[in-house]
Amino acid sequence: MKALAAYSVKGGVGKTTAAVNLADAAARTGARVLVWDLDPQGAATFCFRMRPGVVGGARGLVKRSGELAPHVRATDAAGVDLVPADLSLRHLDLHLHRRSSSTHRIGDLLAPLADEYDVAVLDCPPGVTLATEGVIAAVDALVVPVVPSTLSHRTLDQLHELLDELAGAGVAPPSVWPFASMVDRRRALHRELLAALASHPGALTTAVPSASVVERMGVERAPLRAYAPRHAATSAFDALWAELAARLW
Amino acid sequence: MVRCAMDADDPQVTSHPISDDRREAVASRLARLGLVAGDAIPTSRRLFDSFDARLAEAGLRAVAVCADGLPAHDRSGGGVRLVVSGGRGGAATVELPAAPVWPSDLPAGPLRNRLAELLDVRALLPIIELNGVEQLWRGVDPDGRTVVEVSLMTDVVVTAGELMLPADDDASAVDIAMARELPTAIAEVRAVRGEAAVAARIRSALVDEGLIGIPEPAVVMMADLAGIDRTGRGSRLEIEVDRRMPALDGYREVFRALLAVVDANRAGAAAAVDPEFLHDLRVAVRRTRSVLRHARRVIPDEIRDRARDGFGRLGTLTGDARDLDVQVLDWSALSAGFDPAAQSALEPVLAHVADLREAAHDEVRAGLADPATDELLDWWRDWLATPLTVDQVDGRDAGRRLARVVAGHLERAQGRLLRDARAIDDLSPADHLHQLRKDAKALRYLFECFAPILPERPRKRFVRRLKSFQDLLGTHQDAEVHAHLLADVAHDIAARGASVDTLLAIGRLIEVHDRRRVAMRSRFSDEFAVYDDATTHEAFAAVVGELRS
Repeated sequence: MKALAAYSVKGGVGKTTAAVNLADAAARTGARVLVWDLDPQGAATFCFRMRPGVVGGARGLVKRSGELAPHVRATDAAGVDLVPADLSLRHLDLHLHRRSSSTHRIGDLLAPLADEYDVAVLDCPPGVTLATEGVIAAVDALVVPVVPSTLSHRTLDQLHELLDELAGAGVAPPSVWPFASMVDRRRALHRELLAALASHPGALTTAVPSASVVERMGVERAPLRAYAPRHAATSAFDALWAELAARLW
Repeated sequence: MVRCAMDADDPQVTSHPISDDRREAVASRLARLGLVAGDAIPTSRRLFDSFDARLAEAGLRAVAVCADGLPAHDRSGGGVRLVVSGGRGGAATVELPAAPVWPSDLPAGPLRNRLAELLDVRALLPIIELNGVEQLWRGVDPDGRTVVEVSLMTDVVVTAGELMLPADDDASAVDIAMARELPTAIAEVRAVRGEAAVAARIRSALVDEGLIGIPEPAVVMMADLAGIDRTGRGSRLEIEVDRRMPALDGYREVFRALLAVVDANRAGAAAAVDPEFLHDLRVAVRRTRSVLRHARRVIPDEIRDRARDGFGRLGTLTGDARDLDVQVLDWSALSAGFDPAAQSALEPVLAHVADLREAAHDEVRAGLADPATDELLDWWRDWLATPLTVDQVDGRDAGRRLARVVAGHLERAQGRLLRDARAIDDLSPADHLHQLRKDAKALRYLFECFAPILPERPRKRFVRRLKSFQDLLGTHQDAEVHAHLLADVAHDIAARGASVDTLLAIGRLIEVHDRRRVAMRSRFSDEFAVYDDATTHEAFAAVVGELRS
């Protein structure tokens, strides 16, 4: 099983949109996909028409006997299952902090499902926390949405600083694959920042356009394909997944 | 939506045959359970596997669904949704423009990799097809998420899959369905991961309606009900001979078993959908020829001469196509060490080889469809079916015990192999090694065809050694043939203006074959010394000794 995390230090850049639609795009090519909504806000959970709630909460998952399998639910997207979010995930750091090998706990929870799924997509909350370190230790790659703004580009540098720091502590850094999110090519600044992103090591070439159809995900509560199968944004996520798949296999 | 998911304590899918008088009752029961019906859509479902059932063996089921409303179907009119289920984990689903034949027909990704690893060189073949009208009933939770699916299939008709259907008579799949009174309506209940209880409630309700549940998808259940052997087809010989029977009867029994393999693979070889059909047909023909070679004085001369001539023609007919199949199948491995530029330079070469292969398969197709082939096989079949006693045959070995006759034939074949091998030295031409390979194959075929009367332990010990020696000769011969074939290809494409890069890349590929050939040649003496040692001779003597006892 390959594990990816939709992650950014910055919020509101399209992490959940990426997690949900990349999972759907992957499943469409025959991958068995598990999405784990680690964000206590539960946006991915909501988009898959599920309600947040994990019996035992974050504490139950973190303890030694905790496992993910009992919490997995099928979604309406063929081939995509989900571990829903739970409000208690806001205390995930606290529970991890009480464990000795907290950095490996997220990877340990995923490991028993490795034969059942081809891909795990972790939808992460923004920021840098102990849970972030666990995600970094567990995944093969961080898929980082970068909106065309100077501030967003800076967060990429911050991410690399974090990875360097973790590497010093013995955590093998995953690949970092940024991609342009919410792009409006009519705007000169967006085009300039797109060009700048292209020079970033590991950058994916597909840019996801800014589109009102993406904003409707919260209303439709489904991946883009379910209600806008021919939209450019849906195609962009398919292309983005094709790029990722070529790197993963 | 076609979706399956796993629950450890409950089957993912169950199929429930419905009798004509229960259809309405089942539909109204589903409605009372709160399930919502979709449109009734003409749909076909095809079960796929390799001819030797590699997916079934791995616990997987590949079903291609074709229905109005599928995205791929909308675009091309012929699209399918391939659902691969079973094993650990849920189903993998992929939309394709057409039913796949090879794993490479799937998009790059884990499913393609999984299937490629299992199927290797085997093609996906249709085993059975169901056509009917499907109506999807969904149970949804308050958020509108599906928690169970029931596919209600009516007017179900079994069609297609003729390559895999029983070949023992001319009955079509539809005839089989009619004869066995297969159900024409089925409810397929698909559980959704995390919602096993909902599916269990639906199943329980269907049982209340008098339906039985079978823990398989409908298409698999129907394959089983139709009597289709999902364990696949191999080329294992099913020969019933005993040591005491007259040699005439024993040899005819072997010929009958070999003819059954020829018959079983003929349509597949002509369709050229999977190289293994041609390979198995070819092996059966070669085995027939080997046994015929030794059948002098066992069967009448005029029969033997005609059969040798006919099967000789069949062997020649299939030779080029098989060589080219092997060339294409080995291509990736042989060119694996090449850099991307050289790989790209080789593309026109592979395209040319593929053209030659297609032309060779056209010849095989034409040859197998030729009336002369029918005439040969029908004549041979008739002769083998005609009762014949030993006093009707003038061959002096016809009435002798099979074991003794076979012992003599094994000794002659082994003697010939040893004589030819001992005559090989560093200066012997490649043809001599080729002849030696044929000797080794002929001996191996005798061991395989008469295996039921040979003592098992010394037979296995001997065959292991023979096989090892034979592998060396085979690799040598393949390298020789492929190097020559590529040299011919180089001439062809040079005449068509191939680039220098392409010609250089062919040169490197020929060099790969040449290195293999030289390596095999240098190992010949050592490998033959192993074959020609006391252990081999003891095993052989034990086999022959027991036959003579």
